[in-house]
Amino acid sequence: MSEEIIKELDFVDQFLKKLTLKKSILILLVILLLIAYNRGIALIYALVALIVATYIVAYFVPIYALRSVKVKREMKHAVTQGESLKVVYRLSHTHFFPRYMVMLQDILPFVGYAKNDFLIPVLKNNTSIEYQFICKIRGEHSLGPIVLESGFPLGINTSKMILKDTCDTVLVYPRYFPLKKMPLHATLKYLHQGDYPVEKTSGVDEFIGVREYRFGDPVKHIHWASSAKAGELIVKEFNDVSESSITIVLDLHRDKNFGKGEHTTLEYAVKITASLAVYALEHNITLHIYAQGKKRVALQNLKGKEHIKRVLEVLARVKSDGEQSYEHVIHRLSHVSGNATLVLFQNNETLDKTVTELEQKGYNIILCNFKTYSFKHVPTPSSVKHYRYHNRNYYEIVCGANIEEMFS
Amino acid sequence: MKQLHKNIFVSLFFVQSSAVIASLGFVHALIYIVAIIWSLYYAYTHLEQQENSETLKNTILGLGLILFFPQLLMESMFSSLISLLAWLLVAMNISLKTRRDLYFSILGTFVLILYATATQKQSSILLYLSVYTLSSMLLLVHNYFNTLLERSQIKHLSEAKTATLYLSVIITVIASFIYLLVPRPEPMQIGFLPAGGEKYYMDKSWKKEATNKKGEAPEQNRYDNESLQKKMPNPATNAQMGNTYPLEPTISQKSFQNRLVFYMQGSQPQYLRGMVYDYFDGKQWMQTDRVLEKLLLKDQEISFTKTSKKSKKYTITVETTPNRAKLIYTPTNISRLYFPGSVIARDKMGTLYAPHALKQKSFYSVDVESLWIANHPKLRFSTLHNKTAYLQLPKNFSKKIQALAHKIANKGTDLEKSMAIEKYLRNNFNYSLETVFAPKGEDALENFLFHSHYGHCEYFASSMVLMLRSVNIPARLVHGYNATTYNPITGFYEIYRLNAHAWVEAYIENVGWVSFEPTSTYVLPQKKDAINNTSQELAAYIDTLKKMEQYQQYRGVFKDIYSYGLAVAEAINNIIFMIGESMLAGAKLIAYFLIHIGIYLLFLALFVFYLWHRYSSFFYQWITAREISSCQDEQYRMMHQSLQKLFAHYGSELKTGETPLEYAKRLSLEYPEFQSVIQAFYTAVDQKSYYKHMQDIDAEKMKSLALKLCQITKEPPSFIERVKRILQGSKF
Repeated sequence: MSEEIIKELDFVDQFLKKLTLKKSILILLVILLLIAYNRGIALIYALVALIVATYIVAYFVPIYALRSVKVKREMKHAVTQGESLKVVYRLSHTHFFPRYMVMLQDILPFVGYAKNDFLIPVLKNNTSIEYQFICKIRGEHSLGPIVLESGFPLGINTSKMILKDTCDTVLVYPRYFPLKKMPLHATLKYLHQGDYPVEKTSGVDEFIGVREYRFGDPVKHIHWASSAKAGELIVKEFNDVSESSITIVLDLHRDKNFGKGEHTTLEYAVKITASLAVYALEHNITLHIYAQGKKRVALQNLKGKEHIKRVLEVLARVKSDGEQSYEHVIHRLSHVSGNATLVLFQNNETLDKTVTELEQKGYNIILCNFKTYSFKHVPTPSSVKHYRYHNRNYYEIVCGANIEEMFS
Repeated sequence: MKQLHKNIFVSLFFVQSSAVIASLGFVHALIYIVAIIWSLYYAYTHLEQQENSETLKNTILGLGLILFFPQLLMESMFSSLISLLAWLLVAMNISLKTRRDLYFSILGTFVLILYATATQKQSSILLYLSVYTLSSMLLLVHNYFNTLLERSQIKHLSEAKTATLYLSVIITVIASFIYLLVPRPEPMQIGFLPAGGEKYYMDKSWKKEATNKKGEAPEQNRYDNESLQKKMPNPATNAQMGNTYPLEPTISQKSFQNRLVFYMQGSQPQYLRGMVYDYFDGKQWMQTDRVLEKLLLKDQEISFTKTSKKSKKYTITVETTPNRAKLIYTPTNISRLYFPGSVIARDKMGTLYAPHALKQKSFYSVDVESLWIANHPKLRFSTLHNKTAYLQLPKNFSKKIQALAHKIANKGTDLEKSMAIEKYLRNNFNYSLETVFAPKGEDALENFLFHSHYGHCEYFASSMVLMLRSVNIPARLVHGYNATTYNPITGFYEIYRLNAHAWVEAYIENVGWVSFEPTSTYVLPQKKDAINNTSQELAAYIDTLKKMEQYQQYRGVFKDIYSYGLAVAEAINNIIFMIGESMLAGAKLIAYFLIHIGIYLLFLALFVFYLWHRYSSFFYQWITAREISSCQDEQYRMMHQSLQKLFAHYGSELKTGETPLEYAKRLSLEYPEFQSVIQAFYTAVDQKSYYKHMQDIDAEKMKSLALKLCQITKEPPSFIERVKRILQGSKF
């Protein structure tokens, strides 16, 4: 058969697709009734009676099936992205007869797809379903309402019951990864916490105390007065301001989030931010996070572990719903001390001019550059490319890149 | 790929097998059942394989076609096509992989069942129909279950099989109620198939004879003239021609089998008229002469008179060739005959003959117009040319009988006299088949009328004819079958050998020939006044079968099964009828109640609804406050839910996907005077939900906030608005 004829016959296929069991049975019923009426054949009336009875049962049983059924969802309300979350559905009904083939539908956006269906073949007075979900998407998610569906026995008529009481929320914290070393270490400043000093080019050091001399300490840092008192060489210890303060700026512009699901530029940025933030707070480094979505995010001067939860909660809720450009948000950071380490995320536009200005002001820049074109395609596993351009740390990230390797 | 499960294949086997047995009969269906088992097993084992099974499929189709053509020569087109369809189903089974294939297969089986219901006339089809329904139901449930299972996150669930069984029982019961209790209208008969079967009846000599007389109008009483009536009957010739009708047939009860002779389809019961006898010699009835007029059929059709709109169609199907094999048994007053042949014959009494003995499965139709006088059927052609022939009495006819006749019919018109004799016989004598199997010998009629007072129909009919003739009313005896045993399951009147019957036609001055039924327990076909429901018809059918039970062909254990089957069917029918009647009575009572008291109830309901509308807010506030007060310290979610119900009552429902804080924001806009309380409570709910480590939120404080929120009142929507919302399906 030629393709043209097959195309012409395509409407038959379309018609058959639209022909549901419900419609087919009704059509059949009418035809049979006409035949029976025309010929007066008693057995065709019997067929009609059987189909009518089937239709009645298939129509009314689903309506009855959902009466008095109650559902309760039990779960933790806060969980970290990537962890599994156990959800328990407790179903009950008070009627004598069990319910059959009840479908429970729940909307769990953190799973990654909207509807999750659970079939309950027999619903006796009390039935529980336990299921472990992997929380793929961070955020504050609205769950439910749970929808019960029953089409038993034939699916001719499906009745649905929306359980409005079952609306709930769950907060999925962003996943963070452990950092082996802080990216700040990669700056060209002298650092005095290790045995091997490196060249210092810029920045202001803050005197934090004295300690014993170690091999490699510059001679100019020897505190002669203390050395004399102690009878051994004592050196002055400085702490680099840029090391102890990190400022992260997120881009929440509505048009600057590329990709789908968990592979979006914002998700990657949030993950990096969370990881840096956790590291900073665990190591007593001052942390600032700024972003401008629909709501302004401004976490300032956070220091210490007790802020970790707050930071994660804020990061869990950020959405790309803002209208201010990223550059504008960065320019508003004038009050931040000029020698801080600044983490920026570059999406589509080039931030060269802004970054240069910031560098001139003395910022230590870490620039994460997302290759946005790659986020339009399927994620492909790859490594993050790291460059040092002038004094700038430059990370090139493509969709599917293993960002956990970034600071290792 | 969405796969069909094993249970679907098993159910499909039962669906296809029951359909094939119902349409082709058990013996013929055996080969198909084997083929169905094999093809379904093949499909199941090759379900996951992508191999091309076209060759195998084509081979089976080819085999079906090879068998189709010889079958076409031996059987009817329809039955051959049905066999071909069965082969097609087997071929389709080979490549059964998707749900669409499955639906096509079910559709195919449905065509088979449809054919079976249209052609099968035995009640056993009900059994196959039940199996088909049950297995179809199972199949569709399995299919639906598998569809759901594909959607479900949790796989490997087992199905609830007992539920399907319960539902099948419920469906059967509901279907029985509908089938048995809902009256059925009279058929329209558009595109009616009037005549057919597997034999075409023709005779060259008859046709030639009929062609020579072409142009003459077929008139009922063409032979009813003086010259022919003068001839005296010749018993030897009559016997040779099979025209005699002995008063006392010699039948052995042991060898007698009450077989089905005809099926009749039509709206009303009928007496099928066969031979009509006018001469009685004391022992047997004969025809004085039999001259057959040959009539030519045009397109298997012949009209005797103009068919009126009142006429009804009747179809008679031959199941067993009757004793008088050439006779075309028809109801009285036929205006048109549809017969599968080119020529027929008719005798002077209006009896029709086929050129050859009627074969099994042949069927013919007639248009019948009923004429009545005093609740007795009247013949359309009612001229009498030779009165003396119908007043003939046998030699040495009993004076006692004549005296009895004069005594009974001593006054009134001929019709009144005839009815008086009919009434006398019906009221004073009992019907019994005993005399059929144990003849009483000579003077049987006298013995019947004056001594035994019981006998079979020939005694009654012969007595009445002779008594009528004694009072000078022309009369004759009609032999035929009473088609009054209606099987509501199949919709056919069943005519058994025991339904062979004799009744009387008397000539009434100024009226014509009128039928009389002197035999007690028999009732002449009456005008149908009311439409009976199937349950009542089934009760009558079972009653008739029980009466004939001892003469059934079944023997031994089959006879017991038959008896038990009848008893069970009767019991079920009685239960359904009883429940149906009770339901009807209940419905009448409810209707009466509603009509008389409903108006008051309506006003009361409106009043209650108004009260609810006006004061329900207070009720909701009270309930919510009570729920909140009973909450434990940490049950902040329960408080949230209780408040949510209250706000929903005011029309501020929690929207799908709305977080507590978003909800709070919206509520604050709607109830600005409570903004601070709303914010405080919902922020606490939010923090309690996510930040359990935060201990600064006091449970008592939350409860007090919630109780404050209970004080929110809002003017409910207007009465009309609320009614509108209810009609739109909203809860509030």
